[in-house]
Amino acid sequence: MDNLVFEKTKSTLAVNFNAQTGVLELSGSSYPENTSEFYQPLIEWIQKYFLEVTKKLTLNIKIDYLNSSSIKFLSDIIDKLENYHKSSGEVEINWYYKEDDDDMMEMGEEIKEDVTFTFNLISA
Amino acid sequence: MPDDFIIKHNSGEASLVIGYAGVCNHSVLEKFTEVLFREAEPYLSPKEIKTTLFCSNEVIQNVGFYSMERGSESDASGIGKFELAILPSRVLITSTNLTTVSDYERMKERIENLNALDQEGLKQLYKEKLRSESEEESKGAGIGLIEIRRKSKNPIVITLSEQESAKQIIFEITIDKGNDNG
Repeated sequence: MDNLVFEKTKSTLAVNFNAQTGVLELSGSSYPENTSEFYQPLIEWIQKYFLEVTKKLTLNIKIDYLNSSSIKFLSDIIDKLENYHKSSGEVEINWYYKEDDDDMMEMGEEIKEDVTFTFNLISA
Repeated sequence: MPDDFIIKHNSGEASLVIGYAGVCNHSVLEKFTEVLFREAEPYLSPKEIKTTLFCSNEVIQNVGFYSMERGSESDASGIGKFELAILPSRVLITSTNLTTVSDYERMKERIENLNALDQEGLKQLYKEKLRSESEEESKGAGIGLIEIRRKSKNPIVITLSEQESAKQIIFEITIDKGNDNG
């Protein structure tokens, strides 16, 4: 399975999904011109990973800004991780936020309320 | 890259005014983000800037999606006006675009429902929307207005302005300054 790597732009995240290590990273700001076009390949890559690789998946999130449609797509990704976990897959999210960034901290806290896998909130 | 933002420092009681009129496309969003971080830093805390950025980008995007006045064939994004004013105790964000009475009435009902909810109610609605499929008519995720209401912590004001035959929908969002609200 190929890795998925996108360079970050002003309005899209840097993406580094490594199929060999199972470590996925999202970083930067997200308010794409076409949100579905940006996030759909990420969702498809994760679904393929669950079918073909089936190892532990660690998602490192280092995001400083999400517009509302990006929040929805990120939530869809996290739902897929929750389903994988519920079907005995091993999942971990490390949610990094800047010390003074209450918005990203609170968003992480709210997501943590609804998942059953390991979800680490990390002040960086 | 649009270069037609009007930027005024120390204008009346406002320490900063940023205005824009025209096609509200993605380039405008990117440019506005740059302008806001560059110009507002002396007047707002980092948290207030982020809240202002979120609310502003959502309303600019909504003008681009829903305005009845559209751009040219090469860029059919909606046309409208946007203004951000940093006042002594608050940030006021205003957007204006052409609408229909039925769209205004539908939006008014939605805003009134959001304004009636407290923070806990808004949080529950936000989570419900995240779990549901996007609304058919929604170009975004259906959570933009909920998040504006949650983050600004103030009611959203919506009015219909009728000049001659033109009907304009006006949104006003207020973010309080200096109480860790922003």
